[in-house]
Amino acid sequence: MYRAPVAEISHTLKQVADMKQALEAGQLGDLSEDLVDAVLEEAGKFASERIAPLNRDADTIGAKLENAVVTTPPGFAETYKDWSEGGWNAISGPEEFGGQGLPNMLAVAASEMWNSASMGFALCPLLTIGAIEAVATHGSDELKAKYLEKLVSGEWTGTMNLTEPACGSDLAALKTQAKPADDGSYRIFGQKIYITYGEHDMTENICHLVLARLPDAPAGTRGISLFLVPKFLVNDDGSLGARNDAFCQSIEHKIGIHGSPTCVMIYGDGFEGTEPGAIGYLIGEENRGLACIMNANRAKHQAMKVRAWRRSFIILMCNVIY
Amino acid sequence: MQRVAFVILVLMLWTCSIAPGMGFIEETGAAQYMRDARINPIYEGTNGIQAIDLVTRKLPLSGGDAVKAYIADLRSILEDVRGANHDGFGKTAELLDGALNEVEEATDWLLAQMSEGKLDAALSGATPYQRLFGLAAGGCYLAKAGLADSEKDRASLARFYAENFAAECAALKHTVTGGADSLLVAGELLKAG
Repeated sequence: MYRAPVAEISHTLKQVADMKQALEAGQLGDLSEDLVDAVLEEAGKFASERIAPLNRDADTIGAKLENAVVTTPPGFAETYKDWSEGGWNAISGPEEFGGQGLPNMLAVAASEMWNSASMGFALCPLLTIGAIEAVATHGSDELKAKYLEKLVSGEWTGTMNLTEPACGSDLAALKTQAKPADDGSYRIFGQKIYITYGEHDMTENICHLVLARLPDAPAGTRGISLFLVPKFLVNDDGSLGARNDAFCQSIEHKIGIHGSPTCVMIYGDGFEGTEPGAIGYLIGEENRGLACIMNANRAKHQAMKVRAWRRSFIILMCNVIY
Repeated sequence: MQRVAFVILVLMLWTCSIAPGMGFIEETGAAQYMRDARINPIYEGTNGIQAIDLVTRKLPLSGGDAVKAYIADLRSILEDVRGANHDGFGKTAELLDGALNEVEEATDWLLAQMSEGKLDAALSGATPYQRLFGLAAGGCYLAKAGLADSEKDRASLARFYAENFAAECAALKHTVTGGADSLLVAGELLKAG
């Protein structure tokens, strides 16, 4: 089973990624080397002792869908709760919204440990990072006030809805529609595929970030806007309101990461709500959605690629053990 | 038949060297890591799209100065390796220097293609170029890890990497600079069905 190579990660972080230099030059605020070591040590412990033991069942049992409800593999929900309550989701989040404001390089190192312990588990918070970035950078004050704190703490998770059945790497062909409503919100209609953790039982709410096209939008990628579509609407006092018309229709049968539900999401198909459409809120400016989502992806991307090259070492380690 | 027997053995080397029999068995757990890892080249718009981004958007940054400055940074690591005068590094500095030369040649070629408007030729080389750059940079960072080492002899890892993988950089450079025409012609044939 995975044992986090904390000493190797610490060496790489400090000596190769120049964190030691940055610490000595005072570029990382009042962060000390001792604190860095303590964070890495504790992250390694959580990854090795709590997350890694989930990984076999995650693969053999996997996530299951029944009546639009996704059940994650045994132990995922409890472990996620302990993990987010332990402050791990908030590690690099903005302090203004309850984050710890620690350097991104430290968050990436921790993320590598979660992902190495069980990628199917760790993909969930990875997507939340993108949602936080998009809302924090481009969201209105109202959206920030309502959603950011819960996303930063991990009490709620985020998703990224780009791909559609006829539109993958080339987003110009995107078809999902957004119609303005009288109250300043929007109604979303369409289908999205490959949505990581689009539905799950680990948190009470999920914030979907959805790319869609306004009725008068220009063709191509210059006519795409970004919307926040919550699974449950949020009242002004922060409590949860009605179920929004955003549902998981099916989950993919994949070659790997069986623990991570890869969802087909249907927005505005009339399952819920008194008027047609899933209720969404514009993030950033109209028709500027692609720029917003690319910023968010960049944050996620760093963590992603660090993980990719560590994988090969894990396979080697497995081999040595056997 | 002799040729077939020979080629099979060469291919077997690749499949067996990472995970032999036990790696092919689900119960050992290694298979899950291999299956799970398949998502990594797909997430974030696929490695192929990233390679295109690298070549068409990142290389031309500051008229090519950004990539050159990065290569110069990597070279300075190798200067430090030479300066360390540590036998444990073996031929690390020399071999990785050669690998960076290949990166530089491939970079110049790609920039020239783009400035001449031959975008197809540049895109054809994007994926091998990404691999070439990754291999060379990976070696330099392992060398950096070996330099700043007091407890363990990580220099031996850098040496292993340089003396076993750096030679692939020359082959990849040739694919970048010499593979485009044939790729485009063969692609037309396959498209025609």
